[in-house]
Amino acid sequence: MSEATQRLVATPGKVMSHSSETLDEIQEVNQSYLLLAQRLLREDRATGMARMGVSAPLADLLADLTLAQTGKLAASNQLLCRFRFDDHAVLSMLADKADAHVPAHPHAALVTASQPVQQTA
Amino acid sequence: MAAKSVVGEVREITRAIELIELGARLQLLEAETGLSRDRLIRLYKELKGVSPPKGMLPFSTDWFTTWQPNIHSSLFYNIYLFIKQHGGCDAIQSIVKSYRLYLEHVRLQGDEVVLSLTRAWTLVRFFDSGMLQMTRCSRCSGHFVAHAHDPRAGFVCGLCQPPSRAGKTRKASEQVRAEALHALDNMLPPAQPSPRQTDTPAPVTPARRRSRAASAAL
Repeated sequence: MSEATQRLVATPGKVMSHSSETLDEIQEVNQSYLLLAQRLLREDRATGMARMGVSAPLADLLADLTLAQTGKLAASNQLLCRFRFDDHAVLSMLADKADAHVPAHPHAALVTASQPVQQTA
Repeated sequence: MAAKSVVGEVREITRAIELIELGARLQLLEAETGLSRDRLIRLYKELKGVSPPKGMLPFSTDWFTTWQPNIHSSLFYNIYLFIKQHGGCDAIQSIVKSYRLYLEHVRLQGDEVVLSLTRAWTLVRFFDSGMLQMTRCSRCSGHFVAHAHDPRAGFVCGLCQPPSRAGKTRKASEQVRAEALHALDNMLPPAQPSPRQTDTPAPVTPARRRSRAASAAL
C-alpha cells in the first residue's frame, strides 16, 4: 500500500472517531441540561425560570418531560440549550473587560437578566 | 376580619418569619402581612433577639442611582421583573424570590450585600409609583434603574463607563495591600517557618540589612 492510500484510508476513520466523540459530548450536555432544567423547575418554578430565562409554557413543557422523552430529545447531533447573549458586540465587550476594579460578573449577570424571555416558537 | 382562618394565619406568620430572616423592617412586615403590629414586634424579638429598629425608612430615590447601589438594584430589579412577568407569583413572593437570587449572586462573587430586602421592597414601590424607570444602556443593552423622565437616548451605564473613582474605596485598597503582603510572604524561602514567630535568627536578607541600617541611623 502506498503512503498516499494509507493516508486516505486512515483519515476517514480518524474523522469518524473524532465526530462520534463530539456527538457523545453533545448528547451528554443535552442530557445534563434537560435534567438540570427539570430539577431547577421542580425545586422552585419561578426561580428556575429566572435562572434559565425561559417562558412559562416552555417551563411547563420541560418540567413535564418523562425520562424516556428527555433521552430521546438529548440523542441528537444538535445542542438543545442556546447561548443567551445574542449580540456579539455585547459579548465581546463583556469578555474583555480588563479593568481590575470594575467587576465584570454583575455586568454579565445584569445583561443576561435583562434579556427577553425565550419562547416556545 | 371577623372569621379569621387559622390556616391563613399560619401562612401569614410563615411569610413574616421568612421576611424577618431576610432582614425586613417592621414597616415592610406591616404592609405585606395581615398581622398586627404587636404580634409582629413579638415575632421579631423572638427571631432576632432584639427589638426592631425604629425610625423611618429611607425615602430618597437618589440612593438607587449612585454607582454601586445602582448596579445592585438594577440586577435585582431585572430579576424581579422577569419573575413578576413570567413566574406567576404575587408581588411580595416575587420580591422574596428575586432577592434570594440576588443574594446568591452577590455571595457567589464574594461581594458585599449592598441592597437590603427593605431597600429592594422600597425600590419596587418607587417603580410602582412611577418615580423610577428602567433605561437601556446603549452599549451593553442591559437595563438600569434611573430617575423617571431622565432622557433615555444615548444612555451609558455605570459599568460600561465607570466614574473615575468607582470601586476605589478604602476597603478595596486595603485588600490589595493585604494581598500584596501575602504574596511577599509566599516568596520567602519555605525552609524558615515564619521569621516573626520563631526566635532563631533568620538569615540576613538585603531588606533586613537595610532595615537594620535604618534603625542604626535612628
